[in-house]
Amino acid sequence: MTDPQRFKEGLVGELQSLRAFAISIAGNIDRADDLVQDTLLKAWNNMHAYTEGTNLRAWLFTILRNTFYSDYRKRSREIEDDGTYSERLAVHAEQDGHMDLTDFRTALAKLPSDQREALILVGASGFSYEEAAEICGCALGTIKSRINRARSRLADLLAVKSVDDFGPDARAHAVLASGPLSTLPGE
Amino acid sequence: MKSTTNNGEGAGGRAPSGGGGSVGKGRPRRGRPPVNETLQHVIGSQLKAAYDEVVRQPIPDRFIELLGALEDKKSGGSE
Repeated sequence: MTDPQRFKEGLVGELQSLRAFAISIAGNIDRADDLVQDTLLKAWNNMHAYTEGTNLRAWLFTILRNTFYSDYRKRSREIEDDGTYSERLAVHAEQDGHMDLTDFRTALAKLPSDQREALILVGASGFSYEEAAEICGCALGTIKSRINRARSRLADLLAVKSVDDFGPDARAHAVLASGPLSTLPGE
Repeated sequence: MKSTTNNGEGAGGRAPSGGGGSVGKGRPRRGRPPVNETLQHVIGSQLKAAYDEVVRQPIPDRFIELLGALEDKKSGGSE
């Protein structure tokens, strides 16, 4: 039996992370907040289904993702449009710190949503490939291949961009980077 | 111009500018192209930075309030 108070504390501790994932898949803050609220309610009502000591974040992300794809996506097909996503994500652009992330965001927005999601789960949210596969309800190999394709595409997009930004030396980088990206660090 | 030391791999043998430039300096000819490694490293850091920025957004009060209300209801013995 899950202790409600500890469960609540656990949920509070995951709020920021949960909301960030919601924003990354919903692409719009209002929709993301509705999604977080629905997720919290579902999680609370299914508290008994959570096994204490297991990964609460993964459990919550799974609920959030399932909620999005079953309830939200059919209501809002336009969310898949690349341009829309890019614009909406740009809400955060003014808060850039030491790094200019505008180009990166634009490139990220160009990825197919399944690749972007896999990349965010593993590359930014700290999940293992196995956990990401569980959250997305797909095979481990599928996650790996989505991430490889995402990295490869981002490399192409960012390398081409850097040719414009940094001149001939970057051009040489771009030529090299446009080759096969089959060997990635960490694979 | 350190990238020209990588002639002979990755670029399919097409050296960007010829020039008979300096090749080698003890770099391995085979294996991962260093440029990809650098680029993937940059991509990794930018991804984390972009995502962390979103993670650091302040949480709307309504979520804390909602969880508080749910907990009160539970401990208040909602049948």
